[in-house]
Amino acid sequence: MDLTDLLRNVEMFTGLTEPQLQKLSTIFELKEYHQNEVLFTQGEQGAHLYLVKKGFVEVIVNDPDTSSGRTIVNLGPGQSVGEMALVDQGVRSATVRAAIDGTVVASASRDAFNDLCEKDTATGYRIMRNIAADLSFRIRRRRFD
Amino acid sequence: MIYKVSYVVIGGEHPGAIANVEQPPRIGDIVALGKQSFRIIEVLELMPPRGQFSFLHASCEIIHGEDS
Repeated sequence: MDLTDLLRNVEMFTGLTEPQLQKLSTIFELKEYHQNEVLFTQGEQGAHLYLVKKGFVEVIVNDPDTSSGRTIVNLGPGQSVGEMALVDQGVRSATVRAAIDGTVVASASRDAFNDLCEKDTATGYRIMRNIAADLSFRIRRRRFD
Repeated sequence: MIYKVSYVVIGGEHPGAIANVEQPPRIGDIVALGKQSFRIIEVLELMPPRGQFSFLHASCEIIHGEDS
């Protein structure tokens, strides 16, 4: 599976045309992670968006009372992390690390992502709409917790 | 169709998972969610389909003694 195949299977990019997907793929890089290797840490400034290609990542929220972390969800193939930083430019709301060896994640910088969306507003509109739909999915799933 | 599935583990401490899969989950299927495997005991539609995506909820139970 190349990067365009990965992007085609990510909800955030559904509805994009093949040329749009190919242009988008140029700003992503792939990296393989070992188990427990950290992608980013809660509280730090977020500058990248991540897409899980293979394996799982753990999303961990620190408990300020105990200073320990609690895994709130595992995210597998096709899932995105770090998109909130693209939208609000805030700090990371959780720590994310690889749950298993061989987890492969694609990442793109916020600057490259925003630049592409601003130059191609049709792509940008579609992606932002899809991000909103994904947040809706995550809110709806909470009623089963 | 791509199936975006929210897996919720009933009982235990596992936080569940979200993953895109090519085949819809079915009751009785065994799924590996990170370091452990689970058995699916319930499948529901979470939201109406949009584009090529279908959105499902799957309740799972721990498979005792078969952690992977």
